[in-house]
Amino acid sequence: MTYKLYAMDTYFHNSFGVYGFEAQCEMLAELGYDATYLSLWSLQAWADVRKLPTVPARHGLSVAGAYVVLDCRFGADAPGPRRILDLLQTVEGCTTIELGIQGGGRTSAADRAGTQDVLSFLDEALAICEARGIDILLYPHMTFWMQRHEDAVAICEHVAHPRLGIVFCGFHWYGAGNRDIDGTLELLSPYLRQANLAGSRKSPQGWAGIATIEPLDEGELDNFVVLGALQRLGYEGLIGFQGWEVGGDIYAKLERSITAFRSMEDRIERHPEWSRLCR
Amino acid sequence: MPVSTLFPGQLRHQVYNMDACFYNTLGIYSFEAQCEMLAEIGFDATYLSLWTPQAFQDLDKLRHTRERYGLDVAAIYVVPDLAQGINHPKNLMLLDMIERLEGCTTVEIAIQAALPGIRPSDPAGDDRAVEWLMAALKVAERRGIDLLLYSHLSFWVERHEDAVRLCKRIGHPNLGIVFCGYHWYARDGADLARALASVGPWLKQVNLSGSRRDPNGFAGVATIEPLDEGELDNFQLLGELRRMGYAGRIGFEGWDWGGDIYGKPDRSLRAYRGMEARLNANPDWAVLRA
Repeated sequence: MTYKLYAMDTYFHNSFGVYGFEAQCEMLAELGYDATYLSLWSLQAWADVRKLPTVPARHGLSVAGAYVVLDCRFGADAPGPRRILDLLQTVEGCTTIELGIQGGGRTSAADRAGTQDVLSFLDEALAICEARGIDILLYPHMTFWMQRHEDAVAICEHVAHPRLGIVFCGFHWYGAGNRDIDGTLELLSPYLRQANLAGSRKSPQGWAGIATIEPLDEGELDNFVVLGALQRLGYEGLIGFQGWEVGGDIYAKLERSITAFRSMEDRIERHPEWSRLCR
Repeated sequence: MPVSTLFPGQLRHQVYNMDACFYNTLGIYSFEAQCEMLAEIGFDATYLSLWTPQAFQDLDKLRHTRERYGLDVAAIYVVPDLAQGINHPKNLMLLDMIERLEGCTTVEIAIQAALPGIRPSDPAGDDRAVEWLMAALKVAERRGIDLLLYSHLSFWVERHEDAVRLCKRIGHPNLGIVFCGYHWYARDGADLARALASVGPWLKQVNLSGSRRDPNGFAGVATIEPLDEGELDNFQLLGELRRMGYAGRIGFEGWDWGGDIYGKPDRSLRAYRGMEARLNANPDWAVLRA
C-alpha cells in the first residue's frame, strides 16, 4: 500500500512568521508530497482559499483539506460559524473541511454543554456539504471542547450524515494519554476518512505543556505501530504529517518525515507482523 | 573474544542492540520481530531483558537464535531484589534460570536493592550481595556462564565502583563487569579514563548510548538517545576503550523510543561504524585537552 501523503501547513508556522502559500506548495511538490493543506487561522490564510482551485495545475498537488475552528460558545448564528458556512458555500478546489470545535469555558464534549449549538451548526453545514459534495471531518484537538476521538464518534453517531466523518490525529490521541491504537481505530472505523501523524513525546516543554510535535521518526509515540494498525484496519485514505514550532531547516524536517514514512511503509509491506506489539 | 581484528590497530567490534529500545507505551515488539530487524540492520547479536513473563518464555528461543536469525545472544539481563531476601522466590528463580540457560553464556545482573532501607552504593549491602552472587557463581562456573555486574542509576549497584568492590571481594573468574556508558554518564560523567581503568581488570562487555542531562530524561536525570545524539561524547569513550585494549562486544541502549523504532538502532549502528572507522584512521582525534 502506497499512501498519498500531505503535510499540514502547521509545519510552516513559527515565531518568525508564516511561509507563503506558494513556497509551501513548491517545497511539498519538490519533496514528493501528494497534497497540501490550509489552516484558516489568519486573514492571509482566508485570502489563500481562492488559490486552492489552481493548486493542481500550478503545483501538481491536490488539496487534502482546509482546517477551521468552530467556537460553539456563541451559537450557530455568531460571525465565526457564519464565516465557516460561507466558506462551505463558496470554496472551490477543496472537498474536505477539517473542523476543530472549541468551547471556551465548556471544556469537553463529554459534559454536553454546547452540544445543541454544535448540532445546530452541523445541521446547517451538512445541508450545504450535501449540495456541494464537501465532507466535514471532525478534528479531535486537545484542550478543545471536542478533544477526544470518542467525542467525535459520539457526534458522528448522533448526526449520522454521510458527509460527516473524522480525521484521526495521532498527536492529539497520544497526548491525551491513549495507548490502545487498534481499539481507537476500530471505534473510529465507520467514520475514518483521513489521518495525520507526528512524532511525539510527553514533555512539559511540548505543545500546551503536554507533548512535543516532531518529525515522524522522533519521539516516543511509535508511528510504525500506528501505521501498522491503520493498514490492518484497511485504511486507504490520505495520511498527513503534523508540525508545530518547526524551524532549523523546515524543508529538511519535511523531507525526513516523508523518508521515514516511506521506509516504515516498505517495512510494513514486507513484515506486517512486526507492527503487532505485545502489551 | 567476540571481535575480528582487521590488522594491528584496526578493530571492528561485534555489536548488539539492547531490547529496551523495543519497549514503549504502545507495547513491546515480539522477540522474533526484534531479531529480524536487528539481523536486517546488520547487528551481530541480540539481547533479552527478563522483565516480563513473556521474556521468561522467550528464554527457550535463545538456543535457536543463531540458526534462525544469524545472531548471537550478547546477554540476558536480570534484576534481583535482594532486599526481599536471597531466598525470595524471585531471586531463587534467577538461580534456576542460570541452571537451565541455553544459547547464551552471559548474564548481566543489576542488583536493584541489597538490604531494606539502605541507599545506593552503601557497602552495608555487600554481605548479602556476595552471598547471593556466590550461590549464582557456583551454578555459573559449572555451566560456563559469565555473570557481569550492571551498574544502574538509582539501583544499589549504582556506580561502577560498587561493581569493582564486589568483584575484588569475590575474586571469581566468572564474575565481571559490563560498562554502561549511560549510567556512568548520568551518575558521574567525570574522569572517564579513571573510571574505565578501575573496571579494566573485570571488563567483559560495554554498552553505549547518546545522552544529555535533562530533567525530562530517564529518572529525571538524563536522556537515552541514538549514539550520535546528546552531549556524552561517544567518540571519546570509544577512544578510551581502544587505548585500554578493549576488544569485546559493544551494545547500544535505548529507552522511551518511538517514532520509527527501526530507524534508531539503524542510525546508532551507522554512527558507531563511522566513529570506529574514524578511530581506526585517526586514533589521535580521540584525545581531548583537559
